[in-house]
Amino acid sequence: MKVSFRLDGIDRSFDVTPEVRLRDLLESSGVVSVRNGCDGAGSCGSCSVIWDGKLVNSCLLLAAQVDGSDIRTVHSQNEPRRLSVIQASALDAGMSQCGYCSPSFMVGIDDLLTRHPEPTREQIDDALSGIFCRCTGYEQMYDAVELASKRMVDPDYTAPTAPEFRDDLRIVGKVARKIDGRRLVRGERAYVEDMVQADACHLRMLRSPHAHAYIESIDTTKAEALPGVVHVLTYLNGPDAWYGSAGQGFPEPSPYDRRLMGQKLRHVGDRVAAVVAETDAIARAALELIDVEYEVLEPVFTIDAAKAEGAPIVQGGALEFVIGDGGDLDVTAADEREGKVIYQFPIHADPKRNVAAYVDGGIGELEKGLAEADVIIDRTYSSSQVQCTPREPHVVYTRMEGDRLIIHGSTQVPWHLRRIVARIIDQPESKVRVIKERVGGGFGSKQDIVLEEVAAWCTWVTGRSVLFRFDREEEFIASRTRHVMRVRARLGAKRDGTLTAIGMDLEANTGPYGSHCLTVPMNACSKSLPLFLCDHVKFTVTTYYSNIPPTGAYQGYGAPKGSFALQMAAAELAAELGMGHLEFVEKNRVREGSWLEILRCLGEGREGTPQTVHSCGLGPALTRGVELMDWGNKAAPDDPDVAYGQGLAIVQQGSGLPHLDQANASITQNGDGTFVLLSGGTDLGTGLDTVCAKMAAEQLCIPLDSIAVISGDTDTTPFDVGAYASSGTFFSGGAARNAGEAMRKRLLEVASEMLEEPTGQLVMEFPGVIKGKAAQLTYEEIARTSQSGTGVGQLHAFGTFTTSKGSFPYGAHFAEVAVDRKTGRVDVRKYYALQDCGTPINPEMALGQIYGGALKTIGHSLWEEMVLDEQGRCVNARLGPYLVPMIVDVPPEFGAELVYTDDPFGPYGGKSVSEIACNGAAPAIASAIHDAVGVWIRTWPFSPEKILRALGEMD
Amino acid sequence: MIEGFHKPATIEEALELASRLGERAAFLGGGVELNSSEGTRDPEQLITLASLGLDEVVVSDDLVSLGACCTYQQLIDCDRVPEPVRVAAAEIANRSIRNQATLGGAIASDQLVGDLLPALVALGASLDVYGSVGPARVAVEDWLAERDGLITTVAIPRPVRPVAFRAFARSNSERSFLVVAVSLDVADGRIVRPIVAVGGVAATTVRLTGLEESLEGGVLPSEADIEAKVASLVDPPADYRASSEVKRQILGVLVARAVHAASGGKGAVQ
Repeated sequence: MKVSFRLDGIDRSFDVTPEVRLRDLLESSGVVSVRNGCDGAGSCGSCSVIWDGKLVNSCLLLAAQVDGSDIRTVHSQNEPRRLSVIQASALDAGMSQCGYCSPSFMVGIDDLLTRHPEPTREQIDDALSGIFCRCTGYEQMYDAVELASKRMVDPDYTAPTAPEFRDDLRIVGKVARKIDGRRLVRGERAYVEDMVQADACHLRMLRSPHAHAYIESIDTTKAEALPGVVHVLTYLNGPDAWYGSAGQGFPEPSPYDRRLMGQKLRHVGDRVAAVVAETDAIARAALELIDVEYEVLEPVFTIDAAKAEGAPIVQGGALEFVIGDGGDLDVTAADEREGKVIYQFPIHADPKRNVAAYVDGGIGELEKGLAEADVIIDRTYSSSQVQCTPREPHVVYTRMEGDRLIIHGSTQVPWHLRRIVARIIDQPESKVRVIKERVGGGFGSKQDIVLEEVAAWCTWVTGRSVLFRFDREEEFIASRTRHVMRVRARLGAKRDGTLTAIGMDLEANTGPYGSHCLTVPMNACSKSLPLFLCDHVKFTVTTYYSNIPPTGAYQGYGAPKGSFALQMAAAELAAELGMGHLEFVEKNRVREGSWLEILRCLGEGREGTPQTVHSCGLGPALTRGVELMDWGNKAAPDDPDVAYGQGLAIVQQGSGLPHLDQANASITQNGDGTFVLLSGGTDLGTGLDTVCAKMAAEQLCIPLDSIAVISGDTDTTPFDVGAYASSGTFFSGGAARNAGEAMRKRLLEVASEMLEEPTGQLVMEFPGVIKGKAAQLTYEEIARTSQSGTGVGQLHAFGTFTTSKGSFPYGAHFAEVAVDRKTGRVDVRKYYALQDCGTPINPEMALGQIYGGALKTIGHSLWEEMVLDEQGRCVNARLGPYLVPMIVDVPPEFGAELVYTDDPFGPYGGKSVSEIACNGAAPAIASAIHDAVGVWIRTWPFSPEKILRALGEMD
Repeated sequence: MIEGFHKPATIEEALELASRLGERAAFLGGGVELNSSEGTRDPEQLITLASLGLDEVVVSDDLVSLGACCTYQQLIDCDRVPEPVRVAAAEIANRSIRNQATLGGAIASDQLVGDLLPALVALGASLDVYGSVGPARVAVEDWLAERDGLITTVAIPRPVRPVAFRAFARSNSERSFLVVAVSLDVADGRIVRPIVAVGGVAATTVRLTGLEESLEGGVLPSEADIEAKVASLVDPPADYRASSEVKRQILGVLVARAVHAASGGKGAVQ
């Protein structure tokens, strides 16, 4: 049928079939900004358009419904080469991070300002209520709307959107538009799916309906016979390569316990067969034609079930050790269909007892510390499985270029991805190129290789280009989630509140594969224990395999769960002592100058290095939080069924991994004296490219727009471990700073020769001038000379960043909640996050990281939870039922502030800022609930059910 | 899979199409249910109601008539729409959905537990329906039992009864999964003609007639007594959001609060 409508001001006609959704029609017509975030359920709003003046989801509309209508997308705002007022305001306020949802917010704000030129906070909430953003925590959207509203009247209006830092610096610490922001808010092509060519094949995966099974037989002949099917991949024709999906530095601490396609299926959603076909519809149809018979095994889902005597074995493969051995372990396979598990080095696993990893450590003697205590508490805290829900699901596009495999990835780890794929296709890394496109959010889930290697293999064997994009359910059941954990915390203290002992016994559930099975749970200890000073500390970590959906990395790594346990135990101990929680924290917390002996036993798979804390903003963070919260003076609710309570938590993280991580960057000079920075850093929406540009620009005394950044391409940019472990600013930023410094030296050397003056006599000045005593040179003059036929050659410099020193970001998070005693509902009334990230390199983006981390973990604490049925199927594996926070869920009082500290190690004193923001919500909210209604809720999420049972409202 | 899309210009034409296409066809309001990948129906032929002019709000002496194609947002934005309907419509904290979802669609699909039906029942609303026996006006509850025909108008008697409305979700953005609407009159300190309509405890909106009977003619019971009574009357289905037991507890609280609000006027809306 023919459908005509006015699209962004132009009359268009289309021939469509009746079932075609408007979103799909727009996308196939080149309007890529209407993104598919929920597979047409209408629950995420990332395909928003204005239909005859009303904001709607284009995925919920048939194209036929809009015949004769007016449809506006973000492109209606796009003036050639210019940003609209709304787009410019969004960037100024720092409200765009990964940008995947930004075009929809631009459309939503357009609709809002048309109806309400000077909107209230409630009107903003209402207007944007249907659009989901996982990165930003929404708070800066209010600023963006206010800016845009005022600029509609006065185009020159401007106002500070964030505080600025470091008067001694020109670029670093100052507010500046994100360098990749323009293309994102304009809805331009930027992501993997935008790079796909028309002849690409589509890949779909047949997934296991059983949580634990062997494939008894599999018949793909009917699928292969379907016209348009290019390739069907099963364990029978796949490569016999074993690897781990965790994108970690080599040699990885995670075991190689999976095969590209295995005969053993370990979770609902595990890979059974992959179909590559000419169209997505053919690929889906082919899945239906594959006949599989399963030998169903008894599954295990919980830590208790996994550790029980005689429990079914999840990973029963033969054990191999590259370094070391398994000691007394039986290394033979329990069943040949199990395959194998390869360890790069021992992690004290015992797979036949479902133990994926074990580690312990400590300082002093725990028992002695407990004996010295006047008061001891012994509590257990547990937590459920939460999913990262990036707005852009996992997606990859693979193609051949001659005899080289090109991978367009949405990944946090381009180099690890290349290494793992090269291993699977059994080729040198020189045959593989990974190009990281703009990433529509990762939050840790894109640190794992969960689909790239399947598409890569299929391209390698067929020669065809392949697009593989997860749907939202796959994102839940086949991507990565945070490990389920249970932590027993034992704390002892003297009557005066002095801590004498800390014991943490942590059990984790890694699910079917051991991705991050040592390091995530370990991180729960390493990023929580050093917050308190105590002479007797002991921890044990045991991780179990099970048949739940896979776990892995998630922003915060293990820290949010370790932090929940330890901070809650501290709150409970303070209450037991009759002390104020804040007083107890002040008495025992880490501070500048503290010696952290505990770090010796908290390395990731190797011995750590104890050190002094050189910068710590906890003191001012706590002071400021007390002030903002009006701590201790909570308001009285009107409703007698409702009680208010306040809580706090102190938090820390790291800034990359000393002695493990490495980042590199290089700079070349253009002919006019400007520069191109090649950074290995992986910007997944966090603003890392902007950090790197600022680092180099500061070194070179040039404005930000005199430097272009290319990043995350294994062919063209230098090596970087990737975006994880809070390493971005510290490592990748550090490499950019060092490259800038090297270029600075090179410029001075060349100028010295040209001016015939010693370098010591030369001064570099903004904007790119080198002044001698007698004369001066612009960078352009230097470039013209060095790139001439008699010149020294194009100026090029390289920077590497490694370190033995850790710089820890710190923070204090405060919450005030309202608890309805009779319904068990908890509402967060106030939330303040005060964080020390040293020098905030991009202040407005640093704030955005904090808001985002805080809101998503408020979600984890109160609502989000993957619920499995008795067969291990996730029953709420969709965005709506899983219940991610929307703008209407933002606490009415929500504030983030940056506490400046002077850190000696990070580039320009920068420390990490994002992951740490995930560590405060659960303990702060849980202790606020206790303050409100007197019950300790020791498992998250803090659901109405748990609150009501704790309060005795139910039998 | 949708194979045909039809846009009739009159109700008669729509009915004729429906009769000709039979079981394979469905009337399309806004499409938030029928077009959703999470929808439960899979019609082959869609008959859109968009050109039938069913989006009017008409106020007469004894009725407020709401066109079935009014969207939730239209209802909210129109001050001639009775307040209980506007309050209930605003419970969906998603403007993009409210801009598309229609009144008739909500009633007919009845997927949206937290929606308008309890409020409409408490208001004593009727539906103008073109069914197998021709045009008729039927009470909302009667229609829910039969689910027959095309809804064109929702008719709310005037004067509009005050309705106390309570809904529960875990977060602000979650679609409410327990909804309570209560209307009653108080005469000489005694409750008369109570209607207690609830969503989320059964396959569709139901009245707690056992509670209504116990309230009729009596003085206002304590909240605890109402909670206990509700607990004896309902057995909500457990799901990923809450157990049956916790839903029963919360529903009792919501009903008790709504009955008290309706009786005292506090929290009731007109």
